[in-house]
Amino acid sequence: MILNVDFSSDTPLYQQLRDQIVVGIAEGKLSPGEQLPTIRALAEESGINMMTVSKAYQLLKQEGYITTDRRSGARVAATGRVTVSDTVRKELKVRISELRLSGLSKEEILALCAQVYEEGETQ
Amino acid sequence: MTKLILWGSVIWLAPLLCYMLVNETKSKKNIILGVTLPAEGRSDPAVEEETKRFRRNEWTVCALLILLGVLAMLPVFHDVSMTLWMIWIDLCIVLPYIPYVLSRNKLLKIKEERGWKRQDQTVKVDTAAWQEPKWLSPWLFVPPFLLALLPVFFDRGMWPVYLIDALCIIFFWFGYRYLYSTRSEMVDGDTGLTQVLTRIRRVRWGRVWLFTAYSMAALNIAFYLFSLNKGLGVALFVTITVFICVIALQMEMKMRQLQEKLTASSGKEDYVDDDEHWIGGIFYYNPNDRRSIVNHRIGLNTTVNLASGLGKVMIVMSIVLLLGLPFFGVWMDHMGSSEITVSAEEGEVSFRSGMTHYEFSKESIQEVTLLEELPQDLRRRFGTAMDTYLEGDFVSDEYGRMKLLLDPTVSPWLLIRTDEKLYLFGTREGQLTRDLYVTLSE
Repeated sequence: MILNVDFSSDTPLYQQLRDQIVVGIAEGKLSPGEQLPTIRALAEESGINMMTVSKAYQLLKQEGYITTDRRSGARVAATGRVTVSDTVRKELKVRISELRLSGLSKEEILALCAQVYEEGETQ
Repeated sequence: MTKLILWGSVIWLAPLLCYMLVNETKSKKNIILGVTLPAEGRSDPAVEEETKRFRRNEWTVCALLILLGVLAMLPVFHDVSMTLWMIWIDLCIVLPYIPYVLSRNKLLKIKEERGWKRQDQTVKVDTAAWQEPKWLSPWLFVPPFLLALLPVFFDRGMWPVYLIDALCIIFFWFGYRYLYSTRSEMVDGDTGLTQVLTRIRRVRWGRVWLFTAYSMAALNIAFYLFSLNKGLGVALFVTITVFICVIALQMEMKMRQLQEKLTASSGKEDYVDDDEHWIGGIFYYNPNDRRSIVNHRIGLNTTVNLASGLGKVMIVMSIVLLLGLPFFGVWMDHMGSSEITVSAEEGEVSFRSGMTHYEFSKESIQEVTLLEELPQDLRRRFGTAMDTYLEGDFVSDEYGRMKLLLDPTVSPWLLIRTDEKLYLFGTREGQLTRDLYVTLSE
């Protein structure tokens, strides 16, 4: 999987890493059990501070997307239902509100969600 | 003779540097003259025309530098030859880059006009391409370390020199391990290609440092042989040095060839482009990159990120070194003609030249001999050896170790044996030396 790190973006770097890995897992670009670069390696590859990479990995681990091991480093967690956190629920609420304010109906929002979901599946 | 050796040691710098830059006109990792171009761009007539012009200009610069190098050897410049040589080395480092930067700027303009510049300026990381680096064991550096120490057993008097050289081999291991960026050699989205490029670079990087370690051990042994036999030592020194240069060049060019071959069909769709972080295609400056050491874009070498603290220190040191070279030449020229004064008053004898000063009491003198010819096999251990100035610790088969301060072109010379040491002195005026001989003989 190719990670794109945008230093000029307003999104924090750890968030960019976390988001892309989550999308990568959802789209099947990262398979369960697949080895991820170590914190040091990812910092070296991207030029990002190790603390920032560590923050992204900690977040992913807390959310259940990856597992970390002192020997084998970080791996994509085995598939299973990951609990939807309050943060995700809140974010979803904000996005849906934005779409409603854009003038989209419930059906149109659901159709858009289905479309984006299928795009991820076909990747 | 010294000047001829110096000339032979550096004159090849000009064609070598120009050749290395001309080699950059061949695409490696989608880069031509420091500019990333897509596959279609590399065969564009405007690009080909510019690279052709660059080659012409670069070889013209090379011819000019060689001409200047030959002129600097003329006897008319004898008194300032070292200064001229140091200025010449500065020119060799700077001048070949002028056509390089100019042509690079033109290629960047073509790239912009043709719309080849990648709009997406994100840093790309291929998670699948990442592999845990397999480093060479530090034990591999132990045999050259021991070899470098070997002469200590035969030549105990020079143990500091051998030890310093041996310790360098330990530093070589640190250089191998920590002066390399483990970042993947990504040129496009091809994971396999990234892995191959990364692996071959890492393996060859290890070979270079291991080769350097063994070369240092060989030079140490040559240094020891030099103290036994001047001819053999010099022959061995020259052979090893030429061998090191040839192998180093061969390693770099082989790496470039592989990069050229492996990436020949790359850049058709997506390609990695970080041109904007390379000032003039030479210096890496990226404040977003936390790394201080980065790999050169092509070949085997590494460089520093000028946005980092280490990078700033390195660039300041390099500028100081470049600007300081001519002054070093002035100092060397001055030393070659500096006055050698002597005094024999109040029971003390002293010889002085610049910062060098030898002093001993008259009472400690056991024997004074006036030599009309210098020992043929005089070999330097420490100090300075120029055509008109010898100073420091020397050795000869006939007299053994001795301290020297003399002009080898002005005879005679005084061989003074004291209770502790053996000295060989000579002033710049033969008569002054003869007068001193008479005074000391009394």
